[in-house]
Amino acid sequence: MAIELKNVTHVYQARVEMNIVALNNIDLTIEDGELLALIGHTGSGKSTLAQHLNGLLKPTSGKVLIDGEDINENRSKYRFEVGLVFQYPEYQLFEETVKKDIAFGPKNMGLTEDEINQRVKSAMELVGLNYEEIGEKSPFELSGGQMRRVALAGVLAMQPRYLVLDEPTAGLDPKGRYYLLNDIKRLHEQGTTIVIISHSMDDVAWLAERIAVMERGRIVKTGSPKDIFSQYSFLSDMGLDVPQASELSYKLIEKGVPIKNCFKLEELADELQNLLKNGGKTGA
Amino acid sequence: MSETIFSLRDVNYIYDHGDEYALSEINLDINKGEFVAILGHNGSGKSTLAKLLNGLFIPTDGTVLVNNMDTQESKFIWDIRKCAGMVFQNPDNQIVATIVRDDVAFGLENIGIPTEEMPERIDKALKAVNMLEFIDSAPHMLSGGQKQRVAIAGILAMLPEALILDESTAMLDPSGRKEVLETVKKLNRENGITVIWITHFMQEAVEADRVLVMNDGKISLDGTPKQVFSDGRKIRSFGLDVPPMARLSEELINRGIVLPNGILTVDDMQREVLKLWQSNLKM
Repeated sequence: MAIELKNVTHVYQARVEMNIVALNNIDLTIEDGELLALIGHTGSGKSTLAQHLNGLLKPTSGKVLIDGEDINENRSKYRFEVGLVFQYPEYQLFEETVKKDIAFGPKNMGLTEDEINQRVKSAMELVGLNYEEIGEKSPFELSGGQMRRVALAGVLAMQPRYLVLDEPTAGLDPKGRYYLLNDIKRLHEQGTTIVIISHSMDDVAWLAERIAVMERGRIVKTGSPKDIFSQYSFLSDMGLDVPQASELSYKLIEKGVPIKNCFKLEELADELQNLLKNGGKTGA
Repeated sequence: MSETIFSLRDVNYIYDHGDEYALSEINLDINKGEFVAILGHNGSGKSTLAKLLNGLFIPTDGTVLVNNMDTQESKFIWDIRKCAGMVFQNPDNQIVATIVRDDVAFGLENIGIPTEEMPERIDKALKAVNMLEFIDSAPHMLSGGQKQRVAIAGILAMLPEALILDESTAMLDPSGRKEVLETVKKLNRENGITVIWITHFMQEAVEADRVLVMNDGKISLDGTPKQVFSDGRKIRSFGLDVPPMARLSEELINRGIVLPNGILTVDDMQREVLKLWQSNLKM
């Protein structure tokens, strides 16, 4: 059970003559239940890749398989299996009330009224929005963070097995960001497979189990956050941010300080405590 | 004694459709040449404050003076806008022309600058944001950071004294963010332009001379970045956070390691850790 991309290449029609290949021979397997982060600078192909995962874009060549079946052979079947949350999804809210907006997807699935209501309720619960309090409100009365969560609930109400989030925290304030990241973490713990695209390495450090680094339409590296974030010069050469904990541990190690490379602040605090209080002699 | 550019006295602001105060009892002076970051969660009043600073909004009560011109008085409005230009969040919403040159010229036309003066002003403005080589480019071919720099140039061409940037990096990637922040820092440092920098990124506020924290329509904290970020609990009670290195410093202090106040950057922290480690080695 997985999403597999096999030799996926995508060339945008309008750009054929310019020879800009958005995706170049991608091989990637997204395992069931994992939380994968796609990182890479703007234009590296992350969003294009995301839009292949539910058949919104078709590969120019190559295949996207779910459970071994080519999703482009049976797109309607897989449309609801993979929920795609775009960048700034709150721009797509349009209904008069929060409830109606979230119900839009399930309605399209042809579910009964009861089922739809049930799904709206549980989707709102999943993202921490109170059904009684804001269900009847206009989505446009809400804060930016709440609007983003309504948009996410609209996708969750279709109960996708896979959730693909493109820059889910962009533009949110710290609180909105914190709530949303917690929602994502909770969904993952409940078994949803998640692919997240983010420029925020702090978010990625906090959430991801595996990271794929994209550059110029290719996946140039995959690994655990520990592997990836310990390669400070590789990432900064690519113009990517590095979590500050990684940057600090890298710089200290360069100066000969005997600590391990850490990408999480708490881990680094442990290392430094050990170094400064015990002279770094224990544990190593 | 430094001169003030923005002076707000007992300012309240209520939006037309509501009865709640979006801003209340704001008293604030900003000096010429200052780099002021404004933080606050959504709905705290940051953007409302920004819009009062160049007369886009007129206070419900109180006065807002920009270079001693009262924003209530409509005869000043063009001079105020010329003095304090605003850059918004979405780079795609503020580009109006199909060529960079024309986009920068747009503001100049609005304020009635003679055509023959324009080329020099446009060149200078684009040079200041390091975008001169794109003068004949189509804006839609530019990156987000480049578009924001064109938007800044459009304001610079009007020879403003202050730039107000309302979350102008929120929609940019990390390199675009850095690009815009560096540009603005340079304009502040080299041209003495006053900068009002509204952001959700705590790390960006570290670069400012002064940080204001807004909460519930009021200014809750006002000080240097070191002062403002020294109390993590307080900052978090306003729905914000401290920069990562300040958080690490809190963690270490909680674990009994003695560190000075006000560590905000990786370089600060590196220096302090090395100092402690080397003195431990000698013992």
